[in-house]
Amino acid sequence: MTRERPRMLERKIPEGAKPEVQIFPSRLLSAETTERLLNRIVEELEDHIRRIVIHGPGLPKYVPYGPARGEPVKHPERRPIEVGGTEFEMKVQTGQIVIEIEDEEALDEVVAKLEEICEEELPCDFQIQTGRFTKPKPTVTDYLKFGEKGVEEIDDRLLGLVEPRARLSDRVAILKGRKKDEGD
Amino acid sequence: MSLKEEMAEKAQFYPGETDIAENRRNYMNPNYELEKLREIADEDVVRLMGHREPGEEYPSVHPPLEEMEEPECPIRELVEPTDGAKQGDRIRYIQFTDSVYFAPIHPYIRARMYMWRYRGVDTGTLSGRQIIEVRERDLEKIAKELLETEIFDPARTGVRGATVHGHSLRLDENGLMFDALRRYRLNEEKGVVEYVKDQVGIELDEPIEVGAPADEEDLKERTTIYRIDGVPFREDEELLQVIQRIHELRTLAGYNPKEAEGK
Repeated sequence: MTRERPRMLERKIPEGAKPEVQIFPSRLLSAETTERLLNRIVEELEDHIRRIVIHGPGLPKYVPYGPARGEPVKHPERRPIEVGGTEFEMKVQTGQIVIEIEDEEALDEVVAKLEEICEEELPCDFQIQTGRFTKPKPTVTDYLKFGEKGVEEIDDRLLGLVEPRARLSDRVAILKGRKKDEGD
Repeated sequence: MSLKEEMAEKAQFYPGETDIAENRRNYMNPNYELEKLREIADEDVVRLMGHREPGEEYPSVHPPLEEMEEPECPIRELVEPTDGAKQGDRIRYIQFTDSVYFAPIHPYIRARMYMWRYRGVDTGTLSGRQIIEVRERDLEKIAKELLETEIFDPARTGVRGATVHGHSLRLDENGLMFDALRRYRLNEEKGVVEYVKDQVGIELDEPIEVGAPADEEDLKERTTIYRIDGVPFREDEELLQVIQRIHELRTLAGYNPKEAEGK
């Protein structure tokens, strides 16, 4: 049974950019739920996905400040998960999942499928929105990281993914044999 | 009635006609006895705060007041020092984070409650946390009351000295407020929340149980938070009137004090 869901806050898609779908659950998801959800999405919608971005509050490895500064946190949600045969470490607790879609014509079909998957996999209510949630053009950070030439040459799915201070290799996982990326 | 009694104003604590306003009044009112919901051992309160080892003597910053020669001062004669001050204890703190999802109490009301109920305290309000600083011996008594009574909920209130982020985030899947340092966890077998770290994130030898999280309906009855999905503040006519009056007077007085005269 699928519920009627208003597509709230539908955002405009800038010209030339691919559309994105955002899954916004009403709770922060555990690593286990994230793993299950992403695996189903990758399995069932593989041909339509360009990249997936996982957003959420960070889980530090060490206590960042205070008297316990430097002590290991050992947060159970900060652990490796396996999606589509590739293992990568969850460094955030999942708050939003943004999925960039390859073909705009398939958008409705993808959204319907995602609703079905979320309905089955999520333990809580959720919203699915379409539009554009990440930057479609190279950002200043990208130019600083890759240089002007680098930005032109690099796979554009790697652009706009990583914060200024983070390393690309720490934050991006490329799923084996599929050329799909995951970033947080 | 004596002149003093006649002149004394009766505290109204807080305006409003809703249950939320009533809760705010109750928590602030020192004559209202907070309902005790759980039992936490004195030792565990000390361990949770992490300022000293249980059983260890209280370190002091000055000799007991009795042994000190104090300057002559009418205020000193008028005000009875608290226990901790008499003994020369250090100033120590406990800090709470209250979730926006119907936590039983929230920072501003905490501040007003602390000032109404406790002596010798210094409290600070921030958007997501509320600190109370007080002499160590007094702090332990206050902390025990704050943890054991209806103004604490194991899932929606957190004891956090540092890295407090989480009050405005969605809850975890199991209903606990997000904590990057994961100081507490839900023991699913027992259905209770237990602290595995002290308030700043140092691991404890043994977990401290703080009881079971309250259900949503119960929290909605106990909370002091106006929310669109609970009781919206616009439903509280009296409260709106008071707020609008204060706003009007402040604006007028700030702009041209003459305008505010007689209002």
